[in-house]
Amino acid sequence: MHGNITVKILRSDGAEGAPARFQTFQVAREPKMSVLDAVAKIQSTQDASLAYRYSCRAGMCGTCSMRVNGKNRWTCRTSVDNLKSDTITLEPLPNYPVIRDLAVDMKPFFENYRKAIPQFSPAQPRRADFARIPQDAPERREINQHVECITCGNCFGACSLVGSSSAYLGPAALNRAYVLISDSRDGAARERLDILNAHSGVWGCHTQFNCSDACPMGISPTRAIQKLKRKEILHAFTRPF
Amino acid sequence: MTNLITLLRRNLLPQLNVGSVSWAMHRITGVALAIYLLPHFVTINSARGGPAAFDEALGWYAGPLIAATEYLLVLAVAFHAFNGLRVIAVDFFDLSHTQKALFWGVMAACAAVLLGASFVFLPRMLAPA
Amino acid sequence: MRAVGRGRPHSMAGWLLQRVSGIFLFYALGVHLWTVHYVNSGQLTWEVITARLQDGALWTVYYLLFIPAVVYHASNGLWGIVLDYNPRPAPRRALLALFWGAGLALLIYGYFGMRPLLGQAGAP
Repeated sequence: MHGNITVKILRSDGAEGAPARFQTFQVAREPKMSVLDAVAKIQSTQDASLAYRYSCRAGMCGTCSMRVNGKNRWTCRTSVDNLKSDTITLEPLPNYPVIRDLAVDMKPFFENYRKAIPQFSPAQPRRADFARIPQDAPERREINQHVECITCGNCFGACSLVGSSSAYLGPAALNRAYVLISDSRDGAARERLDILNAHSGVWGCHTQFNCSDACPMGISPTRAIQKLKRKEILHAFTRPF
Repeated sequence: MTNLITLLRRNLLPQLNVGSVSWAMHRITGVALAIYLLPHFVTINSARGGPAAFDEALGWYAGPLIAATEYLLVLAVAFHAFNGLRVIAVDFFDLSHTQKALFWGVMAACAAVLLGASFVFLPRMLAPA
Repeated sequence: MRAVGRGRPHSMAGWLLQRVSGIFLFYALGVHLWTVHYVNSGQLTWEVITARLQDGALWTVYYLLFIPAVVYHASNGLWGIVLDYNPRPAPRRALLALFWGAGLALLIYGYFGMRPLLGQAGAP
């Protein structure tokens, strides 16, 4: 694979109502080039004013996420060759306020994330010994399927309900709540289930699976939300009045 | 017109995948059937005027155009019903990983209804007025 | 049960009832379309319909469940669309009142429409 690739980037200064427009760049294709490499090259050799964000460049932090050819992706782990296209269209992640160009404000994501009590709240804080959960225990295997979230925000940007309702907590917050509710060492399950028993919580999910399709870590937040719905029902019908 | 298309696309199909398409179809058929409920109830209420009034009201539902509409309504019901079962299956059983296969099952069931319903509605649609 | 119907929009009760009514409608609407478009196909008249509906009390029971299920499923479904757009509390309350009013009116209207067709069995 040789030659140039065409990179179309949606640029804006982030001001409310200011028009965004596509600007086209040509970049020489390089072996094993990632989409983030291409953006970095444009910024360093063609237009220093191009705003984008990254930290680790190794698929651990997720800060480099953008919309690539209509799909939310972590750009450091998205290979240009694998896109099978000589034209790459880059837009900022949807459902976030744009700071500038490809850099979005993660504030709505983390504000909603915090509402689901994402921190571990020990059930027995002054316990003398460690509370151990064996690696092969069913509880641990259940948690394994949802615990690897890196809070990249791709799911939040893909969810159509987040797009229509600013109150909806979003896939990552609900997935995180499910992890902690499933953890027998955590003591805030009831509190979380109460918060999430709302249209802004689990009942808002319409199982479109956009978040699951967008998650770079292969997590299905939809599945976590579905399991939360069943936990909510069991919780409501088994709890004394 | 472009604005309307943008608006509909943003609200009904911001992503193009199996889950979104099935959801958009579920919402469109659901709204259509809810709207249909009103003229349907009005027709039924003609029964309060006695046999003659009722038979006259049922007479409105003749003609190829009505037959075509009813054909579409039956298909809308079929999709909404089968996809509704899919949604409920994914809600109550841990079937998130099979939701795409289930959607193709829904489409197969709809195809069967499409075929069966054509025997009822196509003759009415093609009959001379 | 404390969490059920505690006033927060579209909580568990509405979600569950939408599914319960949906499963019932899968059966009831199937029966409805089958009888109207296949069994009684081309012969939809007062005579044929009343003869069928007044043959035993089962059809009356069927319609006493069918009408509320349809009206609930339709209005709760539309209400769900409203909630997806997260309306502010004041318009939300106004719309909720409108949905309840329209739903109850439709329920009564539907029942009184069916009553002549169900004959004596339909009278309370």
